[in-house]
Amino acid sequence: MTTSRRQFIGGALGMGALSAFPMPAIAQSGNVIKIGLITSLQGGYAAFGQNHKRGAEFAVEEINAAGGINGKKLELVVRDDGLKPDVGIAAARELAGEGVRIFTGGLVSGVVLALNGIMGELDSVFISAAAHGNNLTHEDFRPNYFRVTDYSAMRVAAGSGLVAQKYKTAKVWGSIAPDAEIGRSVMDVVNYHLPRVYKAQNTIDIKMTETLWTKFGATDYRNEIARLMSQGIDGLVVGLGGADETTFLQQAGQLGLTKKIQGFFTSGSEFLGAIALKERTPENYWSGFHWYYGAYPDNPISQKVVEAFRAKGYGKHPDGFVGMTHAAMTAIAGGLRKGAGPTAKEMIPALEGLTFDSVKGKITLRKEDHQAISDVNYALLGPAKNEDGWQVLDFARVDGAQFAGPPTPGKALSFT
Amino acid sequence: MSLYLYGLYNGLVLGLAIFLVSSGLTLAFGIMKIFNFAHGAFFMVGAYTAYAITGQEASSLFVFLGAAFIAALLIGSIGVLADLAVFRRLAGVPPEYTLMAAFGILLLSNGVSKIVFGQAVHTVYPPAVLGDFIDLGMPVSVYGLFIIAAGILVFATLEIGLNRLWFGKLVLAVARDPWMANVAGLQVQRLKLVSVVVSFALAGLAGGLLVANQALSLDLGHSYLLYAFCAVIVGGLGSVRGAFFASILFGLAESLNAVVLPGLPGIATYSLLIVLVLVRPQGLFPELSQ
Repeated sequence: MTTSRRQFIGGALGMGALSAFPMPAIAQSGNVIKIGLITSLQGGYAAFGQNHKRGAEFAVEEINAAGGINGKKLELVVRDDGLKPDVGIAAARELAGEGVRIFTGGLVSGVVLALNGIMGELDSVFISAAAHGNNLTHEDFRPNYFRVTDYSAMRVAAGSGLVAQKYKTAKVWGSIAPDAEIGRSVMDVVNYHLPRVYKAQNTIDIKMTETLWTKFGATDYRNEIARLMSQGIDGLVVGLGGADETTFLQQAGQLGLTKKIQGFFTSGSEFLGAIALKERTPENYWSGFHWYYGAYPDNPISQKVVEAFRAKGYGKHPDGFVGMTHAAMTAIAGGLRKGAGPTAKEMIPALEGLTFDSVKGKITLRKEDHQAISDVNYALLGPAKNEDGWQVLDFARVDGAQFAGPPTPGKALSFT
Repeated sequence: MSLYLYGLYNGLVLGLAIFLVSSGLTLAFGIMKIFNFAHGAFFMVGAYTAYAITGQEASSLFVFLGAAFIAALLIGSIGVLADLAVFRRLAGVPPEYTLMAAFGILLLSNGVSKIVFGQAVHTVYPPAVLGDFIDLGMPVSVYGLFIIAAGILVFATLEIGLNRLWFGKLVLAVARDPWMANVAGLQVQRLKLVSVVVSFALAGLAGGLLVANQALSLDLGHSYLLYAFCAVIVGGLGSVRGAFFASILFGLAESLNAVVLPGLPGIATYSLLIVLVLVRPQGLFPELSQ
């Protein structure tokens, strides 16, 4: 095959044109440390993933504006996991191929579990900023994994204490949760703690009805709502999240369930339900938070993140996903400042036992199982005649250390 | 009313909701002989369009229905573009190419929706006249009854339109043997275009009518599309009647699953799919053109 003069000139012009466009340079250079953020940027959890990205960006901007770390700037490289473990793994491998060794993000436990499985092989660390599953720091613990936020055991145990304090006469409790690891984690903790805490605090024996398990992405919870209404429950634990939780709350409100019960709490969709429901937000709705900014009016780091969020025009209410990637980046910076390089061999000892200031005060990454020992936040959301259509009526900031349980890496939490 | 009866009622609501989505899908298959992967995305865009018109709660039934029809018109118009720009150009190539093109349209629709509508989750409520529920020992929502009525109305319209009206018979003739229809002097391309437009418009209409049934997010299309595909396959590819009965079967299976086996969500739907495909691989109502 011969190349004609016309083909050669055309090819040369094409190459020239291409070279005029800046190509993304991913590879690690001497003065930059790349951090891979793998989160979910599409689907029902996209709003959380977007805030994951924003929180990490704020932290990188702050750290770089202060001169970087040991003379090196941080650079964030963002990838979407599409809520799918295989997509997350592909993203991590791609970034690792470009030299990235430190990862953060991780919205759902299933994806994080898969990512943890390859971190050792990639000589990398993953610092997750949301995934809640009990298993991640217990039976499925991997040494290359750290979690900067509270987890189901802490969150739900704290929530159980909270509702026992607020709804002293609620004797029958129902529950609904997704048939997935996170749902099972939440319900293990609820079934263990709620009866005990009611007995201890209010000296009453409560009845827990059988948990209703649902599919992810369900569009109809009316049968479950009818069953809950027929059980005569006084309180409800909602283990659903994202758009599923919103659909459930919408239908529960329409069918009158939310008005029939004294109160309910959810493990962690933060403001999402209230933002969607607006003036239809129920009045007895305790929502779990990775970080509720209103609970930290005197924390300068928290205030700075709130100001940055508002200044960028992202809205008035940064959620815990913003706060937790900010915390993850702060932890990473803390590890690097201790002189660690970005490899797993150097980062793991630097992060183990690290205590750092964050949007929710001091966080310690427990040495044994790499679990964050931190506050647990809840907010009571309700309807309002304001611009948002909802408001925070009350909040709780609970010391999570008492609920963290003993570290048992490699061994499941015991609820007997 | 017992939980079982309530489960039956909810199963009908879900079944007719699935049919509202699957009707356009099966129609598209009947004409184009492809699974239109983009159908779920256009259903979602239809729902967002209705939400943009009504806000969180439609002021009246007229506004609610009007928004659904505008959504149908908009998505139908997109159908014209899709047919002229993509499907018609791929008419002579193997169906795998059209399948990939539909997948491309799905990705494009999702991307554009993300830019236009944002990623927030919304809730939409039916107008006051449909927003109440009847207390029969269990809360029977009026909106659920409306979905059942809407599904039956769409089914009746398509059945009569396709099997009794001259125009429907022309469409069926093109679907079953486009070459012979062409030889007989029918304007095959025009009839195909109309069918594609109706198929797309049905996706938009379903979005507008079902927008108040669950939270509105960019995931909405996925929630129904899997059921709709199951209904189209089990009903008989391209058969509106088959999709109707299969949708109801899947709705009932899913709903009664929640009542009878609350610890094993979804198992009845997939079991039913496997059994029906094994027992009747040609579908409940095999379409003559297949």
